[in-house]
Amino acid sequence: MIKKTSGTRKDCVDMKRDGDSITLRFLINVTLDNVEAYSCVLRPKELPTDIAEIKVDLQGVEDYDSYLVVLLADLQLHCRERNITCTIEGANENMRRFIDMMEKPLLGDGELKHKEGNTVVDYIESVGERTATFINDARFGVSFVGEMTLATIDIFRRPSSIRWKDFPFFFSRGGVNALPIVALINFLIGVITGYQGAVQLHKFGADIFLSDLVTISLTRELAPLMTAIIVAGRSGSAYAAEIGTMKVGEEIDALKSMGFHITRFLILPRVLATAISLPLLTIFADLMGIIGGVVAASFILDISLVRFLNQAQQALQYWDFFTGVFKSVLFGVVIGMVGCYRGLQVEGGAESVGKYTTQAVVTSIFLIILIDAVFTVIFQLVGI
Amino acid sequence: MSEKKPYIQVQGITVRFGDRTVLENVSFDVYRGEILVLLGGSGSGKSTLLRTMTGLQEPSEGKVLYEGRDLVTAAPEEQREILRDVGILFQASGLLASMTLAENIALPLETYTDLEPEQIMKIVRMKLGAVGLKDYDEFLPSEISGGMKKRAGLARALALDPDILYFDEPSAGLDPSTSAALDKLIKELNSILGVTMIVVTHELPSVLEIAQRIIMLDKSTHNIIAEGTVEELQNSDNELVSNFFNRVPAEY
Repeated sequence: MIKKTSGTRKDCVDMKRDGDSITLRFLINVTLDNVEAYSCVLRPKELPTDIAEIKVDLQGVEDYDSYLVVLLADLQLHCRERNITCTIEGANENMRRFIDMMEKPLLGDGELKHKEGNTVVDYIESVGERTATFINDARFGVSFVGEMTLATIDIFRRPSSIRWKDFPFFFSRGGVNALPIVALINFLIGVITGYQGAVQLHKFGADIFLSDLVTISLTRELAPLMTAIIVAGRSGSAYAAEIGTMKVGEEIDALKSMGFHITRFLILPRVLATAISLPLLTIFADLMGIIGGVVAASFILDISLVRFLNQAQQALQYWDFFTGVFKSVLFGVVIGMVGCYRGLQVEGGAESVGKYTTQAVVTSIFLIILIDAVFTVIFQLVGI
Repeated sequence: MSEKKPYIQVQGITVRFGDRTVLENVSFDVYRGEILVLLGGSGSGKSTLLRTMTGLQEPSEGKVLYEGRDLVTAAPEEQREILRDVGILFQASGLLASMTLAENIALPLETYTDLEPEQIMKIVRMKLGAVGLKDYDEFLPSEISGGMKKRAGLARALALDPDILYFDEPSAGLDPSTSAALDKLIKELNSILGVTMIVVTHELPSVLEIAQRIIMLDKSTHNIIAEGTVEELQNSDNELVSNFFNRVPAEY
């Protein structure tokens, strides 16, 4: 349809002057294909202003579309602003009906309504809206955590109260399937830590302490953190998108109407799967990170595997390992809960699913780092 | 109204999904300016046929000719060129959720024409006005009802003044009154704009109201079982056709 035509007035419009009146005849189709051609020749500056009347003769127009109405509206506006009379003639019955139908919305109250900009009011409104959203989020969050707590307590009283059938699926998808990426990332983190540490420690002749650096930093902080961030990106986002899509498709409403408890049916299996799989992934990540460290140590400082492990055995305390694993359980709970919580907040359509999926990942990562910081201080204070 | 030279020719279209055949050697012509209804029960392949005719579904065999140019074998660029004359109203309206109604309608105009922004806004107002949504330009699709979404989808389909409009179940999910209003709008647009319309539906009241010609598909034969005007099909001897028009319960 849009085959652009460029042209001159001679090609597009025949303009005849008779005293203080001009007659315009359109020579080519007045369609969206020819916008460029017509806009070149019907600019206000191209039209004479020392006239009293513009007659538009539509007799020769064979093909037309909405652009005809736009062109006529522009011409009429031009005439109105300059007190020139504008008359349209030669339109056949169909063309008149078309112009009437399309022109109607352009008459009357005129322009499209756009929100009028008022910076101060807009700012206050936006602060108010954000505050209201924050309060609603907080209220929903508190009620969500409360429901989760009750449902979790209920598991010990009635183990059959949650849908265990889904647990292996989520465990396998979030845990087992994440093994390759967790292994690769943590191996590389081990290599990076090893290389950076080796350069610094070598300056002090403290090469062997590279083993302490790698094993303690990995087991206490790096492996649990990196693994949690990977799982937040994989499983947390998947939970938010799944539950959000279910909400958009009224599946959640359908389950509620059938008497299902959403927390026990949909959320708890996911949260439990993440809370159990994440510590196991973290233990695996510890191992892969240490292997990365060994590789770096043997390449740069020529430290053998046996020396590295002997030193690690002396340096590493049980608490180093268990604090990392303990935190990863909390990270797992947070990732599962935040993913599901954001999914339940979805309203409307696909855009909202995307928005809350992103928020699920961002919130999870923020909370993971916050929890890690808090527990690092707590463990330091209690001396573990 | 209809010239006897076909505008669109569907020739020997077969669509299979794995072992399942949905359409088998379906052929028919569409004439300029007519309202053609593709009728049939659930699962008869109406929507698949529409998707095939609009290039959204590649057929296993056959051709779809638009004034002699085959959409199926056309290169992607040529396909896009052929389909610029085509507007589609999807069953779920297909409006972009993140854009207002005005932005939805302006999108093809901004992409494919040289219009100035004010001129685009004029066309947006025209199209929204034509479908009775003049004051809803700043609304998001999620803020309007199902019937309004259908009309807004129609306004977007009309944005580039297409020569052919496809409707996929336009009345689905609408109340009788909204559905009747949409039928009236379809007839009005056909009569005033002269647009060729191909409507996929199984809503009998809509069929009786808008159809100038009907092609009826059947899921057991995967093919056309009847073709003609409303009266011709209502008086058909074919049991499947008369069962459909007389709402005889289907057997499963």
